[in-house]
Amino acid sequence: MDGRGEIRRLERSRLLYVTVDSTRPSEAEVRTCSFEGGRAVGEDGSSFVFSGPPPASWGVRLPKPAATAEVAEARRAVQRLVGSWNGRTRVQYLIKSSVRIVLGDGLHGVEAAAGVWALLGNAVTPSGRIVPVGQSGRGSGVAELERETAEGDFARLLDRVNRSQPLPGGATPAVLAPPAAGVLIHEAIGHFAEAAPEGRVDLSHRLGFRIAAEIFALDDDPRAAGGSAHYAVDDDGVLVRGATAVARDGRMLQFLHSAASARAMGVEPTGNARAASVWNPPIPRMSNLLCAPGIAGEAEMLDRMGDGLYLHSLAYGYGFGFRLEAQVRLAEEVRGGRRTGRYFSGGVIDEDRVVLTRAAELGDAAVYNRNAMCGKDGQLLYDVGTRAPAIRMHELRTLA
Amino acid sequence: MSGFQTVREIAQARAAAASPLSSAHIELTLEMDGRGLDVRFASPRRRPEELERAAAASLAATAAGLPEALRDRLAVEAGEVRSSLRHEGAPAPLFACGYRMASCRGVVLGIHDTGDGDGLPFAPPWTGVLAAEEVDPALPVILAPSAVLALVSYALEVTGGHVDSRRGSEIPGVTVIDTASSPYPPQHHPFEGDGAASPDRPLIEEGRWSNRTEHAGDDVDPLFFLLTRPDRALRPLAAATHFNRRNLTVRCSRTAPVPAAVAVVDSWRVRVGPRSGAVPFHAELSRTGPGGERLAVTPAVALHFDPWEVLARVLGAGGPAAPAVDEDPIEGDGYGDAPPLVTSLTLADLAAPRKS
Repeated sequence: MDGRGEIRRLERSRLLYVTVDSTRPSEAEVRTCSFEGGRAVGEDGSSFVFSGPPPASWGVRLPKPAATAEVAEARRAVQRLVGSWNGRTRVQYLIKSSVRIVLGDGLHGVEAAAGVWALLGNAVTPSGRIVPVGQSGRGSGVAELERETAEGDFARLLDRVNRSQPLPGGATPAVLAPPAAGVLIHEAIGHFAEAAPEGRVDLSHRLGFRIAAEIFALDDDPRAAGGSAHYAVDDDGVLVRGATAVARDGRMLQFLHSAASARAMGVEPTGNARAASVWNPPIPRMSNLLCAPGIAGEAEMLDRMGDGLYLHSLAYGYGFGFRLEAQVRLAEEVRGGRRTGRYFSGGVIDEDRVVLTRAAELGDAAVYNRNAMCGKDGQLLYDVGTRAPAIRMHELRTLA
Repeated sequence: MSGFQTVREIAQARAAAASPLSSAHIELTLEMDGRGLDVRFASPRRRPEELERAAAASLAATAAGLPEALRDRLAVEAGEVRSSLRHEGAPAPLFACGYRMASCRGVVLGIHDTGDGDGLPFAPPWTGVLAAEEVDPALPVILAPSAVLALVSYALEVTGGHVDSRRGSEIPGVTVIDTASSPYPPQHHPFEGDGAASPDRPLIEEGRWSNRTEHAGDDVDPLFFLLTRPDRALRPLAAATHFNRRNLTVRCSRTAPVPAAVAVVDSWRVRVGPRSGAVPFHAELSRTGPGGERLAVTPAVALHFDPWEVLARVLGAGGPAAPAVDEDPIEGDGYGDAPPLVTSLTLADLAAPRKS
């Protein structure tokens, strides 16, 4: 590799981690990281990753990223939130601010600054139920943590899980609240729409494939208002030109592409090359997946379902091949179209990728998921937005 | 300086038949003091061109000894690792090592120190290939070291995640140790922050759970993780799973004779998240025969079983422990040591249910 035709990626980042354990709330552990490094990829595909500043011959050095939150402020916000929850909790709060640039022939060489946050860990309720904690998004997250403390949504979820019964497995009609629907849509349709990294596998047979019922229309938009992702240039240095129509009438319409996957399929890149850090190769990933809402109110959907489950919250969505699963954080029994206050937790949704072909109707309000974390190929992103309405399913399969 | 400062430098090059050459040169400085832990990646590093050449040469030499159908699964790595510790004075070296490592189909073909037969190719175990349909399902099953490591790792993850408590389960003669040592130098850092030896923690002793509260704890060891997996400085530790241990060493106090013809599980990867009961695995198999042949089964096959049931059917070790790798799609490759384990199972016992 002599530099000709080479793609050079650089990053400078500052990271702050605050770990809070509810049994020792005043002793928050703090970890900091200042990172500078890069990755060079030659025309032959060979790559070299390094730490520290780039070679002087590259003639470029990124500025230090700005801090997006004070350590003390962030620590107080996490401690207040954890203090508002019942039971034992151990959470890790992360904030990362970074500047990246991609240099190469024909690229714009635009410096891109970004800030993301995440809160993750586990809470153990007084009755011993383990509840995954997961929130993330753009910015410092301090305002979101304070809002969560004030509104108490997760505290209520913990109380309900604490009173819950183990979820009995089986196939049942279900209404998924928007946060749960978002997890299913993300796994079933979003990942299905991501082109293979480097275009290694020809997935063109997926175009036109019925991935969901006819009521579904989905776009991916890196600049969607209110979305967790927000960028004008992707990690291949490709300028974002707008939203990509992913699915219409429940059928796959377009893939989400990096530069390499687009080249392999003979189409234009869509601005979806994303890398968790400059050391990782950019691969096709969702930015903000937007599912168009339907026309039904949630009460109408429950009424039409009659008996079944109301899925409040899912966690750990996971797809492998044509299989899909997600942990049920909280579900509620529905009888005669009314929520009963009888809660279930635990259990796993165990489904095929085409689970959403069994959707009957969509709710009239689409809502962004508060957890924008997504892992793929060992790369964890904190700003993969999903905006989804409630979904009524003819049938959903769960394992106890 | 009142705390400790550890500097770790890792240079490595990886050559694989199926993908372009890749190399890395990374140095991180990890400082612990009363305020917490700070990691810096600040020193400029050069491309390790000598290691790149060494990896490419070893790949070519080793590939020549592999059945042709397996050559695109081969990868060879050449690397150097150095650690030093500074505490109120000049830095003192902790550990330095050059190594070569080869793997194929999830099997570690070998890890050796630089200078220790540098120019020699690694010796693959397979003498040929075989179609999956030609394997007799009545053959007894042996788990090769990587399959043992992956199975134990998944079983621990399920239990560690409290999906299913197996405190009372028994795995005949098997001991599993959480250790900061590793046969793979980039994941080897058997030191505490002050440079003292880092103790091993038994997780399972002679088939029985150790007192996990006392020995394991719920937390990851950030010092160990950051020094052995520097990319973790850029993401939360144990972010997506209940991954709360270091490297694994597996031992078995019982031995068992190895039948002349067996189905060997070379490696496998679970296809679902942690859960109790039977789960699907994607397995690389081979078949040994009385003539000493070992034929790799292609392509990989689907199996379906309860990991704890398989561990309960272990008869004993079928040979000495060897380096192994657990290819975890979330946490990345984790290396350890494990013996091959002879089981009382047949391949049919592990077969995935037929689709109707």
